[in-house]
Amino acid sequence: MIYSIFSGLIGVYCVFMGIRTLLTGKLNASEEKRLEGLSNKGARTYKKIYAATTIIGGLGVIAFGVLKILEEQKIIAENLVYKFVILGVVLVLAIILIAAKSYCKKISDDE
Amino acid sequence: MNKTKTLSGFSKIRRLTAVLQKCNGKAQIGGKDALISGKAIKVLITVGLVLLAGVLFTLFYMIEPMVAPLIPLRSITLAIMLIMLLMSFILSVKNIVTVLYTADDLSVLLPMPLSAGQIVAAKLAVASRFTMGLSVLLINTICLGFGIRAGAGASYIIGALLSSVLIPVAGIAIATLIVVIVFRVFGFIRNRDITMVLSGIFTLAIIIAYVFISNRFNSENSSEAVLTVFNTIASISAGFPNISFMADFMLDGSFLGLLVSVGAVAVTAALAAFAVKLFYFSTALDMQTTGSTNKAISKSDLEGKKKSSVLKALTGYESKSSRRNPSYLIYGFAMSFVWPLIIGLPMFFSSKSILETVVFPLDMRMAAVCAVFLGVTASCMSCGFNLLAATAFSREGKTFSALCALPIDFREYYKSKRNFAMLICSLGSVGYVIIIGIVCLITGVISVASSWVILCSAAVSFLLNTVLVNWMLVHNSKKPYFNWDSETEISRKLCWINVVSIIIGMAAFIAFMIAFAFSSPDRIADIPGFSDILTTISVITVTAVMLISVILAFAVNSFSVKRGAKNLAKLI
Repeated sequence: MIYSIFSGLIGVYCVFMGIRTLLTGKLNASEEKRLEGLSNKGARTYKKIYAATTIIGGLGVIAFGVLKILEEQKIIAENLVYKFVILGVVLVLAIILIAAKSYCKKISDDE
Repeated sequence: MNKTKTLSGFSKIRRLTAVLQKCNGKAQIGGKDALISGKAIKVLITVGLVLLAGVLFTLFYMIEPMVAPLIPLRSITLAIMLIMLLMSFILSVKNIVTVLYTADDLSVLLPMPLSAGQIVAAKLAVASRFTMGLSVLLINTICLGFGIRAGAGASYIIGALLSSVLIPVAGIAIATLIVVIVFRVFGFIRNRDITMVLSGIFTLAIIIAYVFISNRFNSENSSEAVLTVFNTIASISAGFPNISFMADFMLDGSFLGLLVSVGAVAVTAALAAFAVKLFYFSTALDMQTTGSTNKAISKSDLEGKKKSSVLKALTGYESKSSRRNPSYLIYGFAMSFVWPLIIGLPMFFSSKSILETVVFPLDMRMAAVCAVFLGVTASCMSCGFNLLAATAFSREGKTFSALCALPIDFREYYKSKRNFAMLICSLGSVGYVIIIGIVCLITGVISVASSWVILCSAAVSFLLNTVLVNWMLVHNSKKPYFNWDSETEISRKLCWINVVSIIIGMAAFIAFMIAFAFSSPDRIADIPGFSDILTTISVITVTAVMLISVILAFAVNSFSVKRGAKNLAKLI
């Protein structure tokens, strides 16, 4: 139960941060500092990708928590597949985010 | 053909509200940096709010069966409505003071084709937007969640919907009425900064005094119901007819209750409008010409006095630059002195039964423990509510680079900030401790033999101030925020140390109350074996707190000056 609540809280936080980035166009101070070398266009693109991955990742973590509760309540049978699927999604998102940063570094404002 | 579109009065107010909202410069959501279009933002916010309302409604709907046996629906409804009313009032006081008196926009707005009423209406709309939204969201979700599950009738639902609008209106009207009158009363002081501080404190004092007085008069209702915090809060609501009569309508179906409640709100709003019409413009225009920036410079000002040292000159500069600004005055000075009103008094009065059972004079050993906890509370509250240390270097803003160009030793610069923050924090903590101590001594709460505990408490308070102030200064010197647009913006940049110290202060206050409750000699004798171990407990507590405070204060003080100076040197 504690794991479900914990993952639910992390998920809600991720979704909240993603939406916040979409609405304000700002990341936290340390992330903003890391983006200083990027062009305006590149930084904006990275922020969009960051927001999208954070929201999807957050929803994935919430889904994990919900499925875990259902499993504990014996509503659904214990299954390893969904755990691997969610882990895979999170991994793919992390790879996308790393790839996006190097891609965004190449974008210049003149294009 | 003249195609100029004539705007109606309402459209003018709406447009002016939008402009003032933007000029306020707080809204980051939907700004130019937003990653999605304005329309998408609106849709997202609407969906988010609806979802949030749905989640809250479901939550309260689900927990109702667990809460219902403990607290009756009437108490829940009254408590929620009272909390929202007080919250609306407190939030509105700050907003109304800012929007009506410190915005300095009247010289721009008055020549525009707008009536005085439209300007005031737009300003009040800006001040009340957040409060109104919060009230509509919370009252509807909480009351409807509990009410529908409890099987309340249509009158309850109608009452909840009406209250969600009428309660913030009442809160804003009361705040406007008091603020306008108080500012008028203090308007004779020809200095805006001082007027701001005195009026703010007076306004808060009026409403807190009213809450306590109404609670005392309604003590018959609460005497049997002080079993829970909710019931205590609910009993206070009898002092606000708009809430108590609305509850009668919601729960008993009394139509007269609805009429009286709506009437009370209407009368308050009318009184507020009347007060604004009578006093607002004259006071606000007077204040525009009495801001310290517009003061004429006299010959004696230019002569000045020769400062005896760099540290003294820098401390004088820090003192003047802080006192000059209303934001620092309110969040720096005033909060350092007002904290007993906000934290201490409500808790003290709510547990008045403790006072009635304690026999004076207190046992010396327990008096020492109480004094230590009081010292910790005073220090943590005075420093926690105060922004002077937490924003010390950020407050310099763009003038920091100019200061760096001067031949100033950063240690002296750091010390000047520390000395000034220590002075204000100590006045708001050590000062209170000594006053409370003397009052206790005169009234016989502590015996003359126990009077040394006052000094002990004052010492703990001062030493803890040293630790907290230095901690905040070093934290701020690491990453000062210079790129601010207004002093109000920087006044919100409190650090996590403030929050930590307030939490520690609250814990120390609770410990103080518990220790106080067990301080009577007869109470100590009642508990078997307690008297034997009390001396040990007392000596250990007092020695430990004193020792830790002394060691920490000296260590932190010498370390912080070096560290702070180092951090500042890195910024150049």
